[in-house]
Amino acid sequence: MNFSEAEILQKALQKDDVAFAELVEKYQSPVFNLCFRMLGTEVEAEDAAQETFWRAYQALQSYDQNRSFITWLLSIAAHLCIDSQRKRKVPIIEIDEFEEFDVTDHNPQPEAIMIRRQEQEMIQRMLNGLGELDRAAIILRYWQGFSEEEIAAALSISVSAVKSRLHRSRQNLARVFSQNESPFPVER
Amino acid sequence: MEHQPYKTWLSENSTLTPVEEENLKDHLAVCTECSLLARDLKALDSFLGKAISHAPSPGFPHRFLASLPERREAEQVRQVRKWMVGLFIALIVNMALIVTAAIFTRTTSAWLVNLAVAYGTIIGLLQQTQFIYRAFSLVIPPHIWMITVMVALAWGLAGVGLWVWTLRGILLSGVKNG
Repeated sequence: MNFSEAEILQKALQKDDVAFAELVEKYQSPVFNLCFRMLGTEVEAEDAAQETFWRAYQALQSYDQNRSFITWLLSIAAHLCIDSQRKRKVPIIEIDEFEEFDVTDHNPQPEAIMIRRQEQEMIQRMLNGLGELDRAAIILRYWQGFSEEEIAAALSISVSAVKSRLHRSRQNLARVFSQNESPFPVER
Repeated sequence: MEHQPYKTWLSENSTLTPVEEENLKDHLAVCTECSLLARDLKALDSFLGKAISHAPSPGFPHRFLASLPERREAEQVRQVRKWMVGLFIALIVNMALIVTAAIFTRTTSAWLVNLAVAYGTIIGLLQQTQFIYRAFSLVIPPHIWMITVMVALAWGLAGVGLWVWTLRGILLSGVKNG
């Protein structure tokens, strides 16, 4: 955590809503991305991300400042999404939503858009095939670049459990990926 | 052919020593199954490595700030509801304890001791429940503690008064057998 973030956090701890909003601004993307990858729709991801920040806001006094703030925040988001998935049981994918909030796509060509949509559809389908905890571990690994220890801390499981889940999930994903006819070029 | 520990090394993306790396290389040269797994995992890493990170629509922090008053109110209602249920259960338990004490004790001192124990238990239970504190700190002003203590005292005095009144009746009329 850098100095300015520590300062913002101190202000937020003193019930400064504007300071907390700065933390929301800073961490909205990783939290939203985790929620989106876990739940599959923008609407649900928005609700889950907002709820994550509300829970963090409520529990801020109990936050251990020796721990990484983003790990703590994503831990709240992951548990929230896992609970939500367990209640919902059946995952829903709204493929039409992929295009409109593709924030990194600077190529407006229809073919590129189509390929990107297919990629997103495939990623989501592959993720939906995993169990909730496995999915969370994979998202934290690939999108957040978390270490096994950080994933273990975020998901409240042991490091060996993380290793085992990543091992199994990567093998499953690789198998599914290789079995699918890829409509886009992938370096092999 | 033995595929371990090579499959584990590949799937866990383990950091290998130079000797282990050499062993893995030799194994992949002769094992089709493991070399296919290595190829698929590499392709997967490449594919997921390119995957975009989704961001919320603009104004997310503003929407969060705007929702705070409503969320706070909903939380207060939830806490008060929880507190009321807790209080109701505590009162039921309290009454059950007093009735039990009245039924199973015959002497005045034992009755009073049981009454004191019942109140002590209830107060202890109430103190141990965090939600009471939260509900009070969020919603109810500090002086409500005085009102609660006075209501509890009044409740206790009413019970004792009723007991004294009953005892007085028995003392005046005497116990009649048959």
